[in-house]
Amino acid sequence: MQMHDTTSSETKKIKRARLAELELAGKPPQTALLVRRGLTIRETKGGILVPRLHYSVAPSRDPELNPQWKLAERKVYTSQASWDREMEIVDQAGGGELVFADTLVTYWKKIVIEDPRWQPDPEWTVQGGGDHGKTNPTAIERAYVDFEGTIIFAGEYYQPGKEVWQHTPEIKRMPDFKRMDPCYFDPTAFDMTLQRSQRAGQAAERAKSIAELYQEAGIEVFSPFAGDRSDVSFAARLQLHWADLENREPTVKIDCRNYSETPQFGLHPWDCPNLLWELMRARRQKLSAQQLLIRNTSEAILDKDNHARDAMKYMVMSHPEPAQKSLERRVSERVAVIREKAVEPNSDAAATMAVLQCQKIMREEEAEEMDEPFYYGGNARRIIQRLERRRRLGWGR
Amino acid sequence: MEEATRDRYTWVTRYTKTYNEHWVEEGRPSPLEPFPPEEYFEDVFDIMDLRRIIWWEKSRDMMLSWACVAYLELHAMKTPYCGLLFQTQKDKKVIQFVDYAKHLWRNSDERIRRAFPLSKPLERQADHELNFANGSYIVGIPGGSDQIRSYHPWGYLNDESSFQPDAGACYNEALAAVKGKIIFNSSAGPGWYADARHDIVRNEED
Repeated sequence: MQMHDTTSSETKKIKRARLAELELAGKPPQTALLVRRGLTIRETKGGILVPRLHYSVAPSRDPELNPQWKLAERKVYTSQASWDREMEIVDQAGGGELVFADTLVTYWKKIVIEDPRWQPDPEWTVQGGGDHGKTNPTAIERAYVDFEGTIIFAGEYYQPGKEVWQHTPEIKRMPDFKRMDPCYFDPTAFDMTLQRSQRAGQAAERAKSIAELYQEAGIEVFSPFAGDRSDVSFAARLQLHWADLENREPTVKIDCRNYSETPQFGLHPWDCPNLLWELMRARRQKLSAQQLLIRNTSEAILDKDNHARDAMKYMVMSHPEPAQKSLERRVSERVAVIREKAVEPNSDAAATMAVLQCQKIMREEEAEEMDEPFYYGGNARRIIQRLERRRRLGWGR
Repeated sequence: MEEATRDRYTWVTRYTKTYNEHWVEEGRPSPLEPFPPEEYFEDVFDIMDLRRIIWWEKSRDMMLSWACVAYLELHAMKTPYCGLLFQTQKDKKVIQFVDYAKHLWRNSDERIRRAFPLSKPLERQADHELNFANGSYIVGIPGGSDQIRSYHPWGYLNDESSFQPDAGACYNEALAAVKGKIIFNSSAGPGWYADARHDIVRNEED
């Protein structure tokens, strides 16, 4: 927060507050202007005036003039956190601070794709994450992974209060749903529970899992997420994706042209307004002043409004690999480079040179692709997925 | 009389009294005293004149709630048929809040009380209300956005907004129902009020 002093002796006749308000014009939102020591005003983006009255405004409490007052008063408070909250006007003191909102608001233009013309490259891989709820929303988040490994969330289904059979047709309408491979789902949805038999003397019956119900309804892409499900790990991972955004692009982006402060239930073919809404609200747990006497500030994140966030967690924590360009695309890109490097790029000679190199480049690219060893626990699954994808897209090999 | 009520600062520092529950500990001669003649109160009242909507953030124990009540109350005293709505989280607290207004009137200079009489004696006014003979009124309501709908006041004061779970909804209701001043006032705490003041709540127009 910037601070400017507007007080000067020659303007004493004009009210200080009015003077400070006049100076607000043209200043960026949230720029604080000093009316007098301990009293500032600033404006929100929407132009609402926010005056801040700090105890130092009263000379008898001003630590510079009377440090004894603060020393005595501080003793009345049971913890530094409660002092900070009550007297220093620190909203988040004692925990409860927002986890992602600050980063999102600061770098909104970088993280959130708002361009209505944006569309994914057809060769990017499509994966997803899902979380089932009955009274809470069922959330499915679809994400694209580009050639550099950037994860772009673009499309979601977010709907509370429905049964599996009611969700299924809507989920199937999601664009690229069939290309989602895999869609990591809440592992508890795969639990198979036993229930007492209704008939005496007969073995217990098995209740179907949620995942089985989806499978029966024709959705087979759900795969139980088996990685680190900790919210704290996820928050740390996501903050890494969004670290140092002054100097680089984020490696997780969210496509959203219709953000709102409230949830927007239903299918959003290309946007993720509910995911953003949940991320903006994610908070760490707040400890009471009494708890803070014996504990550090909590890292834990509140288990509330976390359905789309959980779906995102499963996807991000699966550490997806970058998409790989098709053989044809890689070859044509190398050929284009050869042409560009020619003395006369648009000449027949340059074209001939490129054609002559084409076969060699193709052999090299093929060899490099097949040279990759198979590991049972390593990349075998990825290579099989790639071959499957190639088969689906009809790339011929 | 005109001099006494020409501005809020003059009224509260010279012609009425607040009460101080810590007067013994603080070594004061009486629990009833005018506002301390601190210059910052002048700025506080001036700031509230600047805009229709004001969102205060404050340290505790700054007498800002008293100042907000005094600011709105004097306007109601001087303006016929001016309604004011005070809202706090709990019913008990809002009664106390209306009592601030009653106390400021009760302890005003006698000439002021004669100039701005009540519609009926103070002891016969309801706990949640203060009605003036000029048709102006102050009504206290507990937390909840649905509480505001049935009123169409000139001014609205929401106290300790950080601790009202639906302060955001109350604000939206107040925008529709209140034609004049809207003042939110609170010490710090996480929630909608903190987010909104720091532009963390994004509006569609952003």
